[in-house]
Amino acid sequence: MGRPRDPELAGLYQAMERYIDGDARAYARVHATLGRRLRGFLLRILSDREIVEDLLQVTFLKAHLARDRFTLQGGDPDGAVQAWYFAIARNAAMDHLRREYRKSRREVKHGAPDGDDLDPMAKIADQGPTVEELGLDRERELEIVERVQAAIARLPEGQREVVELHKLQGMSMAEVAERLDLREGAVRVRAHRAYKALARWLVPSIFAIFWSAP
Amino acid sequence: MTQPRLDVDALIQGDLARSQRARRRHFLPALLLTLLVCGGLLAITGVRGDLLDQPPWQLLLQISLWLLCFLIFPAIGLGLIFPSRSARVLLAVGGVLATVAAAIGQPGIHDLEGLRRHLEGEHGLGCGVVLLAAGGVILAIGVLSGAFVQRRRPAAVYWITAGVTLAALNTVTWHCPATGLAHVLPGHLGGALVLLALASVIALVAHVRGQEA
Repeated sequence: MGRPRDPELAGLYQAMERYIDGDARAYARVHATLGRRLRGFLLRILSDREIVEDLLQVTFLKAHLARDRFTLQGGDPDGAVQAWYFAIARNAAMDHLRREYRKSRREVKHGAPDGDDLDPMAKIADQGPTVEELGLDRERELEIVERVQAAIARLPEGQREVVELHKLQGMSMAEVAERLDLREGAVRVRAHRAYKALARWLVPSIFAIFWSAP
Repeated sequence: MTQPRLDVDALIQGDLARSQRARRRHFLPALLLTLLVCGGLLAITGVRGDLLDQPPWQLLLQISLWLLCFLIFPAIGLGLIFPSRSARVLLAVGGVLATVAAAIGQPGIHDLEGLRRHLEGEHGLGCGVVLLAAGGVILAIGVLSGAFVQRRRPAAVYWITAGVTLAALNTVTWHCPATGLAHVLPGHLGGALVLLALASVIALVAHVRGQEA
């Protein structure tokens, strides 16, 4: 019941292992396989081609510096390499967006005239969230969604299927069991293990996000 | 972004090339020391009298095994060359078969006088002891040169321990003129198996410690 494997990615894990061990030709293979896909992925987040090219370079550089930390997760080794690179690309894009957001916020601050009495809008009490706060909230939400998605992707295939059908598609345990041709008890065990693992991976990071929030 | 873009590809390729050069710098002194150990041991214990009288295929096989143990196996284990999976399987299987064939030799061809003198303890050393002593010293060179921590996968250490074992076994093969199974099987190949097992354990421990450090 697993996802069909992408034939273009065949042998990518082997190439990654050799690249980690220092094989320059294997790096070229990884780059050739993932470069176009990563560019397309980044273009879906950012529209500026120049920035996307820069972020693509950043992605490969960050991956190179962190290559010793690459570990195989899940039952699809080639897909795991791609997922790892995509996670780095996504983080690079998010970092870029955050930087741009802060930069534009600073520019707005510096551009405003000194003293509230010059700004008639400043006299109006506003109990609701400001645009900045809304932006930060949205950023935080996106980060949580990404973390949850990444954590689900880390689960073993059997557990991931159960979580996706039960939590994301809203099926009951009995329906999931029928769909996967398993006993309901087995589905419950998988779900229990999956949620336990997700809790272990996610709780500290979400806590950290809220803790670090201003 | 008007600044000229960094060529990250070239940077990464350069970094990989630099790490290869660093590995070679570690490997070459270790190789020289290993050559000295094997050569020195053969000089001390003596080269078999019938070395050049062996059948040409056997001598050729032994020379190929010297190349395998000194260059090819360590280079794979250290990550200096990256043969494909099929080439690695071929090398491993071929290496084992060639080792057995080179050690046992052609049945019925013996330098009987040399063998009698050897087995009577001409040098006062058993083949197994020579093998383990040579293997121990070469293994120590490997551990001290950091050979077992160069690659991330633990499987890589087996290529180096195979090289260590083969170097020790070849030393004994060029020292002892025996080709009969009754002596070669326990004394040479048996000793090599013991050395391989011990070396693998020590190398794996060195690998794990090196990766943790």
